Amino acid sequence: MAPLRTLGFASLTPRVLEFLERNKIVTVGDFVSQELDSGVEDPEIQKFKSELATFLEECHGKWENGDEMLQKNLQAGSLSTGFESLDSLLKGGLKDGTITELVGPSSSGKTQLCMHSAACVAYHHKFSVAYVDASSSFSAERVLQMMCGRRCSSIAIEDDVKEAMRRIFCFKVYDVHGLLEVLHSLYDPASSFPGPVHLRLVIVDCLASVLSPILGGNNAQGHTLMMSVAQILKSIAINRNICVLITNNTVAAEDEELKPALGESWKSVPHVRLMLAKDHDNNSCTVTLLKHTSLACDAEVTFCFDRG
Amino acid sequence: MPRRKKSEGWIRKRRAPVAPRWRRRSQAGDSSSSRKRELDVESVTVTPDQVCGWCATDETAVDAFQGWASKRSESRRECGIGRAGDLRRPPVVSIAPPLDRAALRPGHVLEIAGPSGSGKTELLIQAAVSCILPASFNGVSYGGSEAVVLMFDLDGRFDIARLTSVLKARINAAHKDDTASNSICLEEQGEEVLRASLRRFYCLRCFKSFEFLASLKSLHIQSSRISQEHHGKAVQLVLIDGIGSFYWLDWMSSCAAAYTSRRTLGVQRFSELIVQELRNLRNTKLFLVLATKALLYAPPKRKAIASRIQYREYMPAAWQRFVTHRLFLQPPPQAASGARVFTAQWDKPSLVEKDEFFIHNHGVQVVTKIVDEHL
Repeated sequence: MAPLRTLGFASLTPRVLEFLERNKIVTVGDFVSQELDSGVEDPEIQKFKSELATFLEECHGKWENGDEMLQKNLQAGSLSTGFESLDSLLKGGLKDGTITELVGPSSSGKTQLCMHSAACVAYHHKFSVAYVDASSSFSAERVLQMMCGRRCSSIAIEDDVKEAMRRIFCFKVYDVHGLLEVLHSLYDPASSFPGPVHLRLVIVDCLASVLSPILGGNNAQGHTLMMSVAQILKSIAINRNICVLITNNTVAAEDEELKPALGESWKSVPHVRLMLAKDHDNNSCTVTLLKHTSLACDAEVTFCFDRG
Repeated sequence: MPRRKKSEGWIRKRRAPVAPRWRRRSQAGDSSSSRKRELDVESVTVTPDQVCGWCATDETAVDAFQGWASKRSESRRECGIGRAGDLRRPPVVSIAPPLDRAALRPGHVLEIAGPSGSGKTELLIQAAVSCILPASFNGVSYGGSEAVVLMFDLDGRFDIARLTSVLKARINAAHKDDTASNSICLEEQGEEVLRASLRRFYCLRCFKSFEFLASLKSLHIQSSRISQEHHGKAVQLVLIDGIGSFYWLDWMSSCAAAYTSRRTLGVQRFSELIVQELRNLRNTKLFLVLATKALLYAPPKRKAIASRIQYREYMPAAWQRFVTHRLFLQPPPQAASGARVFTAQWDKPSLVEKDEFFIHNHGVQVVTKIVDEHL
């Protein structure tokens, strides 16, 4: 952190500087982490404290009252997943600034749903999509098939389809450190990574494949890395107003039911949790709403993936 | 203590003979001062109106006394509450069930703990709605406290749409009771009341413990600005959603502190500083703190039904000392068909009765009170 002296505060008089040196306060972090009892009566120090408080407020976000938050919420858009029944279940689709988690056993349609959402956002909404592929299951041919439908042919691909395919950026990660690097570069577009413009959707498929191997054992470093991933995902979603779609596996619970993997601490991360179940006889996928911040749960819808 | 035989090495301790109680009382000297020490009540002049205000409408004498008496076993110095001070402070009028069992007053800190999906944030929203609504407006009674609520969203998942829908449902329910005015006026009035109530609700999102601490510090320095904006109405309720959200991240920084020369704060130190800042804020004006805590370790399911809820406490000692009341919530069982019933059980003060409630579109509704027979 930068020293207080260099931040250009007008009320930083020599007397205030002396007080700060006496209490060994050099940076903003030192000021926040100390309990200052002495020097409260001095008006110069009071003035400096209020200027610093305004500075802290500007850095870490201002208090918003409910009215402003409601206006912002009403203006926030939502992205369609490509399935009308799922969009109606979520009352509009994937909302800006939220983390949606798809939970399901293997081959229940999570990756298909992710690729379908990416295709829909890139082709219909014309926004960029960042697809972070942690399980090596991304297939460009399948996404092309989803965009074109049955009219797809390998010889003549229309220009708008080509343009839409260029808007999907795929990042391959193989471990949690690679994932953190990619997510940090997406959060900070000023970094050297060639970031996509008008980014509206970030998909991470599949989180459990990079996080499950590091959890457990005697030390808790796996848990801390998992919560760091959670923190950066929340920052991306809320601060940059982006929809985040993540996938997770299931593990067996005590009463022989399926519960989401990654443990109890992960349950408080996503805003919306959807459970997928595949019926292999008639190729249909059933989606149940497990958790939502403002809607009633346990509603479910069924739809089929177009085989093209 | 199990009894042991003399042959096992049990030594009988000889006690000094104790005088009977009647003799002890006369030996104590001034009986009135010893009485005062026992009851520890200063001389307080109260009016009958004040006394009527201390009891809630449906609170029996047993419940009231349980609520007052339960505080005698708590560590008072940490709470900053004197025993006599409890009787002088006005009760919190706007707390809705199931939080009203423990007679919460300004200055208390209630921790609502439970696994994910047990309704913790719903209870916070319920308390916030009761606080920000006006008591009455244009002759229609809304039953609120018309006070300012501050919310620290440490989880990052607070949804203003949910707060708005609960607020609208409460306003519509109040309008249904009022048959005098016509419907168009009521609709416009409802909009006005909704917007005025929302303006009394302030929310701040934090992504790190440092941001939380910095905002508490800057709030302490600028607390007069908010009260000026609201014509002197002070903050009555402070909500903290997800007090344990940064536990793992702070744990990581406390591990890293061994390797860096800089002063980095760990879990314990952050907790101490946060508790200190909340106490400083409370010195200017007393407010009630409601904090939700997600349980990081899943409680064993089979045991939890039979006996008291088993949980593993992970918050540091500074926060545990700061908390004066604790409520445990349990989500409805997954295999249940029909209505989803949530359970609330008081741990601090330790109460026998459990509350059950539903979560509707219009908020939390308490159903029945069951007695736990296994205790």
